[in-house]
Amino acid sequence: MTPTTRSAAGVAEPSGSGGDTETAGPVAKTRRRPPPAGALGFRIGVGLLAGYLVVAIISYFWTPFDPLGVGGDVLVKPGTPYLFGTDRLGEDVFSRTMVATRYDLAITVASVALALVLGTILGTIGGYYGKFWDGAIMRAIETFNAFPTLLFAMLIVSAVGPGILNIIVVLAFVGLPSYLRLARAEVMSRKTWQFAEAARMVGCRSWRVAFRHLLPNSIGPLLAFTAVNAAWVALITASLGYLGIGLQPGVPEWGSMIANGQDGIITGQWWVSFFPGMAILGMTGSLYLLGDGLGDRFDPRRRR
Amino acid sequence: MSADTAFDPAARHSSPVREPILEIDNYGGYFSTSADQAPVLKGITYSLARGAITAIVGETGSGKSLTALSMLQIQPASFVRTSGRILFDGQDLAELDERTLRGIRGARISMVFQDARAALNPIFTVGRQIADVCRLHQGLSRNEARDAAIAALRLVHIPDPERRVRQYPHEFSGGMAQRVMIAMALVCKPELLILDEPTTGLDVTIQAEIITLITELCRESDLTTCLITHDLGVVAETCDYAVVMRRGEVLETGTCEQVLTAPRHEYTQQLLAASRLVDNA
Repeated sequence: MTPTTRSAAGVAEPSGSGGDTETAGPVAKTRRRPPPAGALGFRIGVGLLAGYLVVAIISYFWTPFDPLGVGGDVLVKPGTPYLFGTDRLGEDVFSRTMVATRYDLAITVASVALALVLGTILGTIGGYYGKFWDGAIMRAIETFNAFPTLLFAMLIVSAVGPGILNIIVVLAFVGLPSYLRLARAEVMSRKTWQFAEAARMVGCRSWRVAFRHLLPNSIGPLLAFTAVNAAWVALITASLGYLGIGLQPGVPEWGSMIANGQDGIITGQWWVSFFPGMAILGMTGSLYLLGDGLGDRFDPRRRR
Repeated sequence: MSADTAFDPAARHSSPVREPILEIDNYGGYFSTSADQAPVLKGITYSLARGAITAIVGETGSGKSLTALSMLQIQPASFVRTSGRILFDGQDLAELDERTLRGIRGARISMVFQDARAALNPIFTVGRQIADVCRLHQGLSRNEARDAAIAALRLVHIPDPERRVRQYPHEFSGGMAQRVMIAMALVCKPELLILDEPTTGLDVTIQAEIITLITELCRESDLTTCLITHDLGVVAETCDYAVVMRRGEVLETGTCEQVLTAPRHEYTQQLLAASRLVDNA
């Protein structure tokens, strides 16, 4: 479909990314096409993410220990009763990892959703109307693009101060240009297609052509990119936490938990960093898998 | 209104009986993107008689389609008009504001493109696309619009329309997709239907079916049709009037009989000779 979808497919499942199209080969001439190659990965991704969501919700009602309860046994190995062990302050790593899921998930989802919506709207306007609007939007975006992303995020966060809302806005802001460019390119490439002209011909106003006829055609690539980008945002969130400029100090967050435990890696207390690290890996991985499967699901030609 | 049109110079070409629904008067212009800004339309003048089928014949690049797009004011933005006007029902289309034009497009003037499969949005069902037109112009409810879409598909002889409305464009063959386009064009009962090479790219048998369908629909209702085509055989069989164009100029207009049996212009004679060769083969 587009390079984005294809590269998304290539990341997670290089062997089967082409198997869901009609070009299955001359031999495999079965009546029913086999399920899309990305289906299993997609299900795993959805399942894992659902798991994260469940954990985040449960953490509001129950954790095995108080996630902020300093003063227990220090640096206990994983086992019972501390499933993931305890850190240097005697806090239960398992409980903290659970609570951290809320923050990381909320920040990722909220900032990505914000970036997706705003970026898509601006990109569609720029791509469809062109001329002045396109120029204005693109020049503004290029100004922000001149800064390295993580550095830019760090600068803004340290300027506006820590806090979950600030992080969400900053990450949305930093991620917005990619969505904008993708939506703009998608709309631009289709606006001279006949069905766009046909829509104008039957009397649709321009915003309707752009948002109701052209944009839905780009939903697949956009969502696929969104999922992959969400993985990246989850990493940036953790990176900011790791650098200690994300949330308020002490708030459980995977990145800051890794930072807390990094001394232990050398001295043998691996578990303090390891489990939050695995949580990040699982979340980014599931988002990649999700992105892999999403692209195809919005194209009726590829749906079964 | 009828009194006004009666005084119009209706008989621009030899069509004394019917008054025109659309008149193109000395219409000309160029593309601002071309380096020398050479005119692509030079004083186009013809009219479409109400209730008749008029054929626009000419080679590729002769300005047939551009003129047709101008009838809906959806010509490319780079086209600059230098002269003339297009009168639809006595109103100059170029003078109308966008809002009024939107009310005309799809409701009073409809157009069918050459490649129907490209003109349908691949991610919506055909039923929804037809229904959208109804809802846009007639403000029908979702269910009413769906019924209208089914009725429209039935009108163009698509079998099993209740099932077909739920299908996507890629599930339609080229000929069926063209029928869908015609259904979509006719769903709001327009007064003028413009067909821009509706059968190019289809099988010969399917071409014949589509042309038969178009003629049938036009004869049944009081629909004015403008058929842009290469196919002189089709013109001879179905059309009332013919306009011959080449290189942005109208070479000849007249009734079909006149143009085909006694062509005045050399180019028309060449066209006829060429098509006869094909016919005999």
